[in-house]
Amino acid sequence: MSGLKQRVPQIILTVVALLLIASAFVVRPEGSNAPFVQRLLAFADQEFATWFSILAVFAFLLGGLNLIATHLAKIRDCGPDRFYSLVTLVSFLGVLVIGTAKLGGPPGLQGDVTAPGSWLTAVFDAVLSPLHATLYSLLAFYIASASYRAFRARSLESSLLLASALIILLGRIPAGRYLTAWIPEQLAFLRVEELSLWILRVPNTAGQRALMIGIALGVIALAVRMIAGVEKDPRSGGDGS
Amino acid sequence: MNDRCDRIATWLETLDRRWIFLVLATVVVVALLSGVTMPDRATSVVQPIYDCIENLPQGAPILLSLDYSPSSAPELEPMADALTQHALLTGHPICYMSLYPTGNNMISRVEERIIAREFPQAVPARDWVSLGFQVGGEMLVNSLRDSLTARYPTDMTGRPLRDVPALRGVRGLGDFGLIVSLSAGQPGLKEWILYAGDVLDVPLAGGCTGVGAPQFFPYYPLQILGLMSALKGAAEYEAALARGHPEFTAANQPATRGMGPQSAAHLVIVAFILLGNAGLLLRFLARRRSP
Repeated sequence: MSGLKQRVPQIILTVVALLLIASAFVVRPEGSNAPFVQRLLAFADQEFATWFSILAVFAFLLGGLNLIATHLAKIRDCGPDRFYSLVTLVSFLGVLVIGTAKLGGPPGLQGDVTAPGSWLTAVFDAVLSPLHATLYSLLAFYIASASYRAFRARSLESSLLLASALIILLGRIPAGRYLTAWIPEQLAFLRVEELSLWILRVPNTAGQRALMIGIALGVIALAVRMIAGVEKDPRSGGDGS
Repeated sequence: MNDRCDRIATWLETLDRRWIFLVLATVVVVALLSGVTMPDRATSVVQPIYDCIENLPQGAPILLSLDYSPSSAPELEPMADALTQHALLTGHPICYMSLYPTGNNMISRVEERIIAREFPQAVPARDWVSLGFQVGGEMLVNSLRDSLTARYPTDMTGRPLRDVPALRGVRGLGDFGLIVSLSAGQPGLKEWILYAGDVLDVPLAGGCTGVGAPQFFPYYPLQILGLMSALKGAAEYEAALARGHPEFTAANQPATRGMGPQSAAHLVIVAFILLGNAGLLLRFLARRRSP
């Protein structure tokens, strides 16, 4: 029985993965006269995308239940942060009820929960937006403080980092353009705006591509191991070994 | 002399960060209240997006995916505003959608702030249509390649897509004249590149936050025709729009207005970085002179 519990998920994983990989290399058929394999792969690509979305909806449900269970436990244990948990739970359940009941908005399955005048839109505009804005605007202060302490020319590497930071900081504002506008047209590439674009387009692109290719190769290797069933996978119901 | 250098260096090294906060806040508030603006111009990374919309065939629809939440709205919302204004000025229907759960509200905000106020003559379903948020991220994009109705049988108001004139002739993503993703993270522009731009013959452009920009530059200019990064990117787009459509200059330009305080904040940070390095230099000089 335990063997079956491991093998069935593994077979599903392998078949679905191979179908999806194959479908990425096949042109979508234009009509019903296309070869069966081509139509099958296109169908799989389209249908699995829909199934994925259905599963993602269940992930929302699972996430909500997990949040309730975690914070109920914290309130029950009377920990020091129980009031924060209480606020979280009340907020979560309040917004859930407002959204599910479509309070203040057009009713029915097709009714838009975010229609103007709905309670959910009021919560979004009056609570969520200001909270997000406040939280993220604080970042500017921490970035300023961190920049003051981190960008020091202590070595060659840190000097390069410092120079790049200064060029990007000045190049990303119009004031930077005015500062170096006096540089003649023949040497326009030395203007801070052009230098900052060059840093983003050349050294940054080189580094990012190296990272992306490295990560992609790692993902391919992991995918091949999972398809072949040699990777430890908790979804198989065992240790996968 | 050495003692003085040492004292100043020590003071600079141990500077209380609350002084930095205070100076930054003061400068930003003064810049905001004074209303100082710094006109910008479109760089070679932003201009192609403007040119693409200008050169689209008459009436070609534009898909605008608002893949962000309120936290990134100050950077990305001005881009949505400017693109909406440009599309409506040039007669291209816009189709809004989102990969983010907060997308419906972000779409409603653009509708209320730009379309309702600045384009009262615009007709819903003819000049724009809002599909809203659907779960799925990259899989949603993948499934929209062949058919919009597979995942969006109706728009946000419940109107069947077959009754939407703005989408006449649009079956899948490949039938749009241009796709633009305004992306705050994942899912966002990267998913649009991988599952739409790279596999369909459709122009794709993007807008992103300042911190997200470095990861999208490797895709420019082959996989995305242009990239607006942060408020500066939006201000550049507004500058291109103001130059090409003088009637736009009278309209609201939030990014251009925002560049004044942002410039002030950047200059303060640069000043503090230089101050920190001055402290380091003083310490070095003091050590060199000491017996």
